[in-house]
Amino acid sequence: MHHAAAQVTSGASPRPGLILVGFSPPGPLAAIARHLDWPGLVLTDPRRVLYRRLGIGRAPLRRVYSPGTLATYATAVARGERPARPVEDTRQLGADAIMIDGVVRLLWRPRTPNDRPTASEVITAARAWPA
Amino acid sequence: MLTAETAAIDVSGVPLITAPGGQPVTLGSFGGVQILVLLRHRH
Repeated sequence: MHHAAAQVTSGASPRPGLILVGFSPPGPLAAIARHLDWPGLVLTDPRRVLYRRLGIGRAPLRRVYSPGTLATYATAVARGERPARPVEDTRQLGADAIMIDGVVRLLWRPRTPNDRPTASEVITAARAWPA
Repeated sequence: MLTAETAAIDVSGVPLITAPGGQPVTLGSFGGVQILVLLRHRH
């Protein structure tokens, strides 16, 4: 989704705002945003109030730790690496939404960790919203 | 393929915190059309 930033900032008006929301502490979340070159606002929701309000679910374990993921970990261990322990709820899913004046009007709720809309789909929908 | 759902969910009062500033804020502070990208976990 970080490709969204370039698309929004380089396109024609009207330009929707971009708000990145996570549930990490402010410092680590800001570091992620810098890594993504995120040009918009960055907000954290440590108690995941927004996630619950939007009905964003948690992935089943078999989706988070798929055979491919487990194979990646196994390869790393075989190389002598020690995978880092997760520091947060690894099952929490993300989401994308379009908010108009504080009300979410369009929502993409994934069922799996990688089930997200394309950036262009979200941006096109936001730009199509009547001003 | 993931499809969008239409909704009418008032999130204006949801309390959030700016990063890295740590200042409290609500989503109602941001008017107009806003794209919200909610992250999943970090490792």
